[in-house]
Amino acid sequence: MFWFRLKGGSKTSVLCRKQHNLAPVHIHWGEVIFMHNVFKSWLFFTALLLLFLTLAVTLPGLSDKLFGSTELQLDAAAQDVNRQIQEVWANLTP
Amino acid sequence: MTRRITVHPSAILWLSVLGYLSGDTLGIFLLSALLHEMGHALALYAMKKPPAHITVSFSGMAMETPPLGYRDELLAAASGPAVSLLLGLFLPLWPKLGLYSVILGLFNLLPICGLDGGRILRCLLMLRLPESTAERICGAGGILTALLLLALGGYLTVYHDLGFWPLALAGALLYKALTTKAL
Repeated sequence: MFWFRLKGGSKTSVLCRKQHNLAPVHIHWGEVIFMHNVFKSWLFFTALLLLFLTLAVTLPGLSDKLFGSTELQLDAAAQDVNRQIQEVWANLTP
Repeated sequence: MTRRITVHPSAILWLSVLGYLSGDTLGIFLLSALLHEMGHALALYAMKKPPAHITVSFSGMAMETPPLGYRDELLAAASGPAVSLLLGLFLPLWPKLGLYSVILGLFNLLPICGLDGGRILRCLLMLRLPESTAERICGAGGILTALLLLALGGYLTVYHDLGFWPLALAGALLYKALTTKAL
């Protein structure tokens, strides 16, 4: 069953709108996909989580492809900014 | 009693990031995001218009609010990034939290529909211009910003060894800018 949100915030289904002869509403394909019931299922997302974790463990190179050295660069940036603040603070205090 | 917080199943996907990033980085990022969202909530409570319902999902927190005027909406939208930028004061004490919060705050200030910056821009324009003109400017501004981000994402991915996430994030923002008609 596909669901979409109406302007007032209520939800109705495509089937329901057909049954009641309501005017068709333009739905973007992205909305249709993401409002399908499977995307509200804990089972689906748990399976997806397990798949991601399995890929992370079995394909170590994937982590590098996805995130590169982001963490290292952020750590270095945080330390660098911190060092600069300490220097400015040291110069300000007599 | 009506349920006020819903956790969407997609929220558990944040755990999968643990497999790719360290728990430390993910934990601090989530704390920073939580404080950012609390900034929005606090502003709404201060205006005596508390969120009726909160949905937590992979893409963040969505707050369902009572009808807000443009001024109130602007304040509520700006309070999240304001809290994030204020957390930058923690840089000397907790450098990672300070830096992540400032990055999160600046990212959310991008003028793209769906982000706080897009909402702030829209409210500011709505207060001064006719609705249709304001919507057009916001839409075009969002798409242009997202296209620039896509170029920046490509640059960061290729030349700065940041992996594919900047490109993927910019692509998602472009999709959002192209498909969001009204906030």
